[in-house]
Amino acid sequence: MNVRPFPDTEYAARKSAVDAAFAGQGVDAVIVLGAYNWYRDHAIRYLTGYDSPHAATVLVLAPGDGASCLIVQDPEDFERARAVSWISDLRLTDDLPQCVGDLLAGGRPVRRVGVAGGECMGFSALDVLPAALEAALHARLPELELIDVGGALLELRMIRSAAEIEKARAASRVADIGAVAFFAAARSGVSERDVWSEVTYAMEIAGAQDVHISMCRGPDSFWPHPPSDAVLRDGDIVSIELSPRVEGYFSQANRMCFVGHPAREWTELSQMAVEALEIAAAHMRPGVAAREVVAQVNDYVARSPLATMDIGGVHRIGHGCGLALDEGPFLSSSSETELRANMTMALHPIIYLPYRHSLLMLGDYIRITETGCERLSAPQSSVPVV
Amino acid sequence: MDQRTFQARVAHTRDRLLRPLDLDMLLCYADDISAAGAVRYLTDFDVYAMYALAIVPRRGDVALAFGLHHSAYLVRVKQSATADYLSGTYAPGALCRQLLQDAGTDRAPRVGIVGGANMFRRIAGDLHKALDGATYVEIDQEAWHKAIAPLGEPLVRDALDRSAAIARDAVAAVADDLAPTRSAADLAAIAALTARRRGADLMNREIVEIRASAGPVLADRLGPPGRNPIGAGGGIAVEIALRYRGLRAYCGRTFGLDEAWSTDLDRAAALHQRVIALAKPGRTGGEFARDAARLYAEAGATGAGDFGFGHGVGFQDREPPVLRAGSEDELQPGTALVIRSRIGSAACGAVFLADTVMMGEHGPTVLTAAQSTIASQ
Repeated sequence: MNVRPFPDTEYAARKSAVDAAFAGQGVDAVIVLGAYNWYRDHAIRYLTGYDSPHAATVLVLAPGDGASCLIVQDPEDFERARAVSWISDLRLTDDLPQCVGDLLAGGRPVRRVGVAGGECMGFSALDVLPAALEAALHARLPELELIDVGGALLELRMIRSAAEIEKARAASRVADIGAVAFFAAARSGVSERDVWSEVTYAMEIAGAQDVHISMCRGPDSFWPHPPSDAVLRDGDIVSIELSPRVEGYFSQANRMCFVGHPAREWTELSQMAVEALEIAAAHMRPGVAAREVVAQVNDYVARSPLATMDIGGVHRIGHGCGLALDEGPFLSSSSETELRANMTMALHPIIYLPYRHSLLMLGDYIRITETGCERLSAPQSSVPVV
Repeated sequence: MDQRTFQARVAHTRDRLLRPLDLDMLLCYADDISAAGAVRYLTDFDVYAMYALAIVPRRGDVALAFGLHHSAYLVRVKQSATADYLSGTYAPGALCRQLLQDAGTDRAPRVGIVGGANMFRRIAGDLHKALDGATYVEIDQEAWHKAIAPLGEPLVRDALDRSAAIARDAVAAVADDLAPTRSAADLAAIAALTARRRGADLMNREIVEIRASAGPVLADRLGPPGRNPIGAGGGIAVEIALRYRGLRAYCGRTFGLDEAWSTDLDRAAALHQRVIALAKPGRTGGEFARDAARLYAEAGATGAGDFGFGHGVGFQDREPPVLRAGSEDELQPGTALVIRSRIGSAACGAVFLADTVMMGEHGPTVLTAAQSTIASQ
């Protein structure tokens, strides 16, 4: 835990790439936001190796050879931050806005500052800038212009390095262990809480530093959700999304079971879930637009009168997943994103079953290779009845 | 939370904050479960969304706005939160304006904000645009806590007691499973499983938080649990932090595998108890820290308060009073504290202890006391 996740050369390469990505933005500095909540620590982890576990952290990134500074709020974690972080200039503060403001106002003149990091679903980096931090910046630098540069960093991160892919493999192995625990725990009469607890325990023992799990248990819980105390019952379709994080990197595998007794309907639904995922995986390759893959899966699902991928006019089969749980590229019917080699992502077609008020969601963590896709998690070949 | 409790808390908030401060509306903001205090108190929402905003007008409906990434969030919020109206939106300003109109506000509104310093820029911008001309009154955590005194409510006290008991049991599981081949991460996973089985709050992610130091020599600061085996003759210092129905409790202990640690562990336990006994109503956090440092000096102990001696707890992970040098926060009956000791040890490096205590009229009651004896394993 006190070890930098990657060698310094990896961080130096990232800094160079980031400088190049920000070069056209005309910024004098970039404020990178990091918070543990919602895993909004992704950008600071990427640039420094530090994980911001207990309090928000800010990295003030200077372009080129300028000195960057990591500002940490947790005194107990400061020495660890120093050991873990690639940035050598660390400061400890109990007033983050003031410290950032003083730092920017006290150096060479800055007029235009980029904001990156901390993005979460639907909110850009500039959107999540804390009000007190913005006020402190404008109090010291009234002419300051803030612009969002988070998108450029997110785009850059979509392509994984060889070292990152190894982390993804390690996390995927942990997800596989979680899947084994899921099939061992899921039974009629067992609560969602108990399933969640056992699966989490298995993945934590196996090396997960964070665990994120969503469950869907039909027919009366249509959507993936955090675990409740409700129990699994005969006739339920159970989908679980297993997202362990190892050394900063999430993997994600979606596993399913049917609760109760074998039935012809289960066989048909199992086939649909498995084949939809197979079709998706077969079409994932460099140069293909994400929406084209989604269309192939939708064509298949649309053959069934019982199922649909259409909720609100959008079909979804997955998303990027790495330093953040949900990140680009997003694999939806409206996505023009072109797939590229060494993107890693969660591939999980979402198939709704309106007649059962439930869904099928089987998925694997994959890497786009030069010619196709590699599954990093062990595929589930059928949906068992438990 | 049932409707009666919800309505009572809304009425209490209006009585204790909106009327005295002449507010037309109170906004309670949170974007992090660790700092969800006022939102959790009012709505029982655990901020399972990118942000949460509890909106309390002077009269009429109380609304809860939250980040709606997709409709699963609405389902979850409906399951877990209570409010007259739930609104998944990234632009809650219009709803606030509507509620002010519904309440018959006929002046430029006075709006109180709890948690405003961390408010997302986008939410703050939308509010300021929608409530053009409003006057804002910042209400800090200490002021909110003094006005609302949430731990005075029996339901809340019961939840805090249960939270502390779960934390204590989870720490006991660490002692039960301590072995040379175990790593701190193994023991953390066991403790977290114990906590969940006892009923600790759950979310999608692990919210039972564990910090540790393990090995033959223990550091005076705890961090993420490591994966190296503790080894024969080693031990672990561990702190578990969790919630039950939103109420946060901490429990920390040091356990050793080497009999040679026993004397220092026992001495540290005795000093820790004396430090806890310093928590008296009317003292400031700074006075507490000063007197605790004096006790350390008298006992010849090192490590006095380098990171403070603790802080308040409740619906928030950290609340006033802060127990460290210079703090003017006052210790008050009806509040809860975590009191931490980190005591230098020749045998094991450092002994770490933490207890959650409830402040009464005459002093503290330790909620994590049972099974708290430090023992060499």
